[in-house]
Amino acid sequence: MRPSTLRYYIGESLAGIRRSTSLMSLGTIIASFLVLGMLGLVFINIYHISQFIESRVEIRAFLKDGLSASDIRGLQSRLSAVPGVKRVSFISRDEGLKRLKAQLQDKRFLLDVMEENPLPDAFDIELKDPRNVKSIAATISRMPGVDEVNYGQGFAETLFTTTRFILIVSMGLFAIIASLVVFIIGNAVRLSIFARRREIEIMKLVGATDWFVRWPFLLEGIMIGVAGAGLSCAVLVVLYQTCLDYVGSGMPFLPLVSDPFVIAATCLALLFAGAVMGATASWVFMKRHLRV
Amino acid sequence: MIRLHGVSKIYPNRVAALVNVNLNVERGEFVFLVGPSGAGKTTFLRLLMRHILPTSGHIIVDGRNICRLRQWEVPYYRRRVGMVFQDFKLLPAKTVYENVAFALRVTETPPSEIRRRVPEVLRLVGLQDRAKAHPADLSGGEQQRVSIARAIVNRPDILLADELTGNLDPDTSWGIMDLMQEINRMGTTIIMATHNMSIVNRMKKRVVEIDCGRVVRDEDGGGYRGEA
Ligand SMILES: Nc1ncnc2c1ncn2[C@@H]1O[C@H](COP(=O)(O)OP(=O)(O)OP(=O)(O)O)[C@@H](O)[C@H]1O
Ligand SMILES: [Mg+2]
Repeated sequence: MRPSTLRYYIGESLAGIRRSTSLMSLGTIIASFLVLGMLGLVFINIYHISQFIESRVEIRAFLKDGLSASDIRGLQSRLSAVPGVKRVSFISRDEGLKRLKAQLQDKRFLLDVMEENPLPDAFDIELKDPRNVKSIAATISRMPGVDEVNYGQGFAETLFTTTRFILIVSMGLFAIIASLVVFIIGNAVRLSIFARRREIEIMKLVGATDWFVRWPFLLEGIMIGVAGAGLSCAVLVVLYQTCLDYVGSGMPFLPLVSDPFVIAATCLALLFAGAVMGATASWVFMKRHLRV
Repeated sequence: MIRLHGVSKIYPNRVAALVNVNLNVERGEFVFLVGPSGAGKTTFLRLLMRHILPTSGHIIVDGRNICRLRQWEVPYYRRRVGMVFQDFKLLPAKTVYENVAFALRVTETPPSEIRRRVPEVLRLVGLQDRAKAHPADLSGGEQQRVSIARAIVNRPDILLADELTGNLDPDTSWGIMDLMQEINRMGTTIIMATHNMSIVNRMKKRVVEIDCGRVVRDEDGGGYRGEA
């Protein structure tokens, strides 16, 4: 392609954008991509948190008081034999207290008021697949010598179903928003085609190729898509940083994704989506309104 | 160069605009296409432009059946055929220069070539001083000359002209006819549809008369009306 031709395409596309893209439609496109980006980040974070929690899902089985050392050893081997169990480790009540203190850090005074260690002996049971936690916990709770099991009952399951629910809702929302964006961009392209219909007619009569006629409109759609996505990225990054700061100070235990690479990848994905949606929009509306 | 074999054109509204037309035109010829309004002259020219396809028959240009051109070949064919339209088809927002350059730009001619050829062709049609004017600021004859300039700037082998001297006074018409003869002398084949009796009568060129879609006369050096 000649540089002069490329310059022509870009010039025409920009003229088309200036003529047929209102601030209103650009604003809608930016808002749409912003929602898509937020959706993406929410999803990435939920996935991250669920991975984080899954890797930590384990069953703690508290033992009855007064078991002998051999009872404990026997129970340990029976626990290890349960299908789906990866590792079983014994946590003596003293060890348990030490860990609790470490977790509580500056709130350890809560424990200092107690005169005696309130914790029983326990086993920590790691699982091969955290999804089986409920049934394995049930099996273990029925074993003799086990007083009580704790695995954050219900929390893990809720997390799994929530993740799936959010995924499905996100996909639905994505489809709706993508069609909205395609429609808005397509409409701008349609207006451009309409504004230039005389030129197009003459171009074809003097021997311009179909692709020569099409390129400016295709580029126009892509440019609007990428510009909308780009502007929304800028807003998204600022918003997310604010969110990270807020969560960081208010809820430090929530492991949000702050990896700049992940955020950059999200922005790139948005830009790419913008280009694809813009191209799709131009193409679909050109098929209907540009008779070549 | 141009051969029509049994060409008919029936529009979707069942109007038979051309019926079984057979015609040969050689390279470098100057042909007048005459006939009453609605006879099918514009239809004839649009077929040669490959703007529309015939309902039946073949149109062979330089050995190729232009009805069988692939979609992508059509633009390249059209670059070899210049057309001056009955309604000029100039772009009102562009200047004279830009209107003429447009035909070169959209066919991806190098900019240096465009800068060379447009002034040259504007000089040929006598509009070098009006290059920056917009079509609305030109007289009918001047607009027509812009349209001619745009049609020939691509150096087509064939120039089709529809109703070239439609609304022009006799002097302006003769000016334009001199221009057409000069273009013809440079080797361009010209087919010109017209109602202008005095021009046809005085130019003594080949005359093809169409009536109700049929060729009713084909006479070298003929007049607007046949002897009969
Ligand atoms: N696009 C079209 N659709 C349907 N009918 C058409 C179309 N174009 C032309 N016709 C009909 O075909 C016939 C020939 O039209 P054409 O324009 O070829 O005539 P013409 O010889 O150029 O007339 P004029 O001298 O008035 O320009 C007319 O009856 C016209 O109504
Ligand atoms: Mg006509």
